[in-house]
Amino acid sequence: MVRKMRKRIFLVGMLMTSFGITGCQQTADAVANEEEMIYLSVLAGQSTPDAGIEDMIDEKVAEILPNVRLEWECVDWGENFDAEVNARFAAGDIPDILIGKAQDARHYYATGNLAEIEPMLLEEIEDSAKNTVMVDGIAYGIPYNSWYQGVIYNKKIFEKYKLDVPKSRLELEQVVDTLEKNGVVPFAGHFQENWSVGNTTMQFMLNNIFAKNPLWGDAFRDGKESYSDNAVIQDCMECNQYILEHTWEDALSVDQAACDNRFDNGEAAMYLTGTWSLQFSNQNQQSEEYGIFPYPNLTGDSKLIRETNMTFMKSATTEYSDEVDKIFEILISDEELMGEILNYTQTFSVKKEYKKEFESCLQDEINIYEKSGQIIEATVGNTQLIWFFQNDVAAQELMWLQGKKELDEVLMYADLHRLESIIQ
Amino acid sequence: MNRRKSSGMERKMSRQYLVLVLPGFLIFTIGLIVPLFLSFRYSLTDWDGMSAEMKFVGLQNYIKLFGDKEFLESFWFTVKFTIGNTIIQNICALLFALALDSGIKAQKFYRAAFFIPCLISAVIVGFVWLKLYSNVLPEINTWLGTNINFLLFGDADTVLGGLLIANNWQWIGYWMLIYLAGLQSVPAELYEAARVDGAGPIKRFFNVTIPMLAPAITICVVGITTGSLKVYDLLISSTKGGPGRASTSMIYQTYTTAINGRQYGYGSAMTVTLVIMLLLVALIQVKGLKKKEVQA
Repeated sequence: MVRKMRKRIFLVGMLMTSFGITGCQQTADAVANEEEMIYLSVLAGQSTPDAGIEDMIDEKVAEILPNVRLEWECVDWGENFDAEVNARFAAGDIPDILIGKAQDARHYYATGNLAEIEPMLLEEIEDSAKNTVMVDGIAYGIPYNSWYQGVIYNKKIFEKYKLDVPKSRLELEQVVDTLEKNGVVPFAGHFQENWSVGNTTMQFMLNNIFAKNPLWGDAFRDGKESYSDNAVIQDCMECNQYILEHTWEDALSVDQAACDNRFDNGEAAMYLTGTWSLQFSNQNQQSEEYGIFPYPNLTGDSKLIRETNMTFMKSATTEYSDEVDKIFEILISDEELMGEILNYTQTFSVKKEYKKEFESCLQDEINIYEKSGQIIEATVGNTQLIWFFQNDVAAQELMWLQGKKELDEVLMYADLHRLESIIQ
Repeated sequence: MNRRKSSGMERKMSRQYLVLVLPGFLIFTIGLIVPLFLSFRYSLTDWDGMSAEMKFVGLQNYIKLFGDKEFLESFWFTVKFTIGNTIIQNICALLFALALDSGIKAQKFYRAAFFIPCLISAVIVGFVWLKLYSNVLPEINTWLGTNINFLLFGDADTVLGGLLIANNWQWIGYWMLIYLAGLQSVPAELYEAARVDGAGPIKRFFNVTIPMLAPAITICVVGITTGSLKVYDLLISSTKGGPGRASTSMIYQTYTTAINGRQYGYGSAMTVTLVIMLLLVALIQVKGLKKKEVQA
C-alpha cells in the first residue's frame, strides 16, 4: 500500500515537473520571440488618398520580415506633419522612418536628423524624382510615387461639343463659353477648404512665376520681389476667381469629396486638381474617360505639374538601420505591393521600367507631356514657399473670394508675412 | 495632557492631509503651473520652438498681439461662439431638465438619449456634423425637392451657426443633468409654501426654482463659458478654422502660430493672454453668481 502510494506520488511529481518545465519553456520561448521582435516607429504624413496604405505595407512586411513590426503614427500632411516632426526632433524622439513629401527631405536634412540613403536603394528611381531629394549630391529620401496636377477634363463632354484642349487663356475662355452656352458647368470647383485654394494658386504660380524664375521665393524674402507689386501673382489669384465664376453656385460650400463625386457624375467638364481626385472614380469603377492638360498660363507655355508624393526618409539615429533599409528595399522591389499602392492612391510610379499593374486613363496624355519635356516639378515652388505660408495666404485669398476682403489686402498680407515663407 | 494629545492628533491629521494632497499638488504643479510660468517666459522671447537661440524681446509680443488683425478676428469668433453657447446651452439644458423633472414618461430613456452625445469625442462630433451638413442633409433636399441650404460649414456667414448646433447637440445633455440634479434637490415644502401663498407656476419658477438652482447655474455658466473659450477639437475635424478664417478660434490661432508657424514666443503670448482672460471671466462669473445663491 505504502509502495503504491509512493509510486503515485512519484508519478504525479514527475508529471508536474514535466508540465512545469514545458510551461516554463513555452514562456521562455515567448519571451525570446518577443525579444527578437523589432518594432520600428513610422511617422507618416498623409494626404487624403494615402490613408490606408499602411495596412498594405504591414501585410507585406509581416510576410517578408516576420520579426519586424511597424508602429504607425499617421497624421495629416498639410495640417500636422511638420509640427509633429519638429516636436519629435526637438524632443530627440525621432521615428525610425518618416514618410512625407519630396520637399520635406530637403527641409529636414539641415537639422541633421535624416540619414543619407544608400545609393543602391535609389538605383531604380527615375532621375527626375531622385533630384527632388538630393542635397549636394546626397539623397535624404526615397521618392516612391508621384501624381500630376492640372485640369482633368471629361473627354465625353469635350467630344460631344467638339472642343479641343486649350493651350492659351483665350482658348480656355472659348471652351468655357461654348460649355456655358450648352448648359454645361465648365469647372468642377471646391472652395470650402483653404488647402484647395493654396494648391490651385501654387499651380498657377508654378507655371507663371517659378517656371520663369525658380529662385523667386528667395528674391521675395530679400524684398526684391513682392506680391503687391506683381501683376502676375494678382493674375494667379484671379484665375481662382475665374474658376469660381464658372463653376456651380455653391462651390464656396463644397468640399473635395463632394466635388470629386459631382465631377465623376459628369456634372462639370473640367476640374483643376490633381490625379488624387480620381481615387473616387477608381473606387466606384466609373467608366468616365478623362484627360489632363495644364491650366494655360499667360505666355502659353504651361507645363503639366508633377509632384513627387510619398517619400521615405530614415532617422539618422535609428538603431535598426539595416532593417529600415530592408523595408525600403521591399517597397522598391516588390512590384505587387507597388501596384496595389499606386492603384489605391491613383498615383504613378517613379521607378524606372516599372511594369504597370494598372493603367490610369490619363496615362497616354501624361506620356505625351513627359516625352516632350512639358513637365514641371512641384518641388520647384514648394521648396521656395513652404506649405504653411501657402495655406496661410490661401485662407486670406478665400476670404477675398467670399467677398470679405479686397485683393490688395491679401497681397499685402503675403508681403507682411514674407519671412514665414521658408524654414529659417 | 489632553491638549498635548489633541495637538499630536492634529499633527497626525495634517501629515495625512499633506500626503493625500501631495500627488495632486505635484501633478498640478508639474503639469500646469510650471508650463504656465515657462509659457510666460517664452512669451517674452522670439523663440521659434526649435532653435537653441532665444532672444529676449520684452513685451513686444504682447504689443504686437493687440494690433494683430488675425488674432483679433479669432478673438471675436471665440467671443461670439462663447456667448452663443452660454445662452443656448443654459436655456435648453434648463428647459429639458424641467421637462424631465415634470414626471413625463420614459424619463430615463430621454435622460440617456440626451446624455450620450457628450460621451463622444469632440473630434468625432465635428466629423459627424461635417458629413451631416455636406452629405446626409443635402440628400433630404433631393428627396423632398426642396432647396434648403444645409452646407453650413461652407459659408463664412453660416459657419458659426453650424458649429453652435454641433456643440450644443453634444453638450446640452451634460448640463441638463446638472440642472436636473439641482431641481431634484429643491425641497418640495418650498413649492408647497409658495402654492399656499398663491404663487402660480411662473411665479414659483422665478421665485423658488431659479434662486434654488443658483449653484447649478453658477457651475453651468462657468463651465460652458470656459469650455467654449477653449474650443479647438471640434474645429480641427470640421472646419479647420475656415472657410477662410471664419471659424478660427483663439486656441486654433495659437496652435497654428506657435507650432505650424514656428513662432513659439508669439504663440506663448497668445496662450498667456487667453489664460488671463479665462481666469478673469471665471472670476467675474463666480463672484457675480455666488451673490445670488441662496440656501434652502
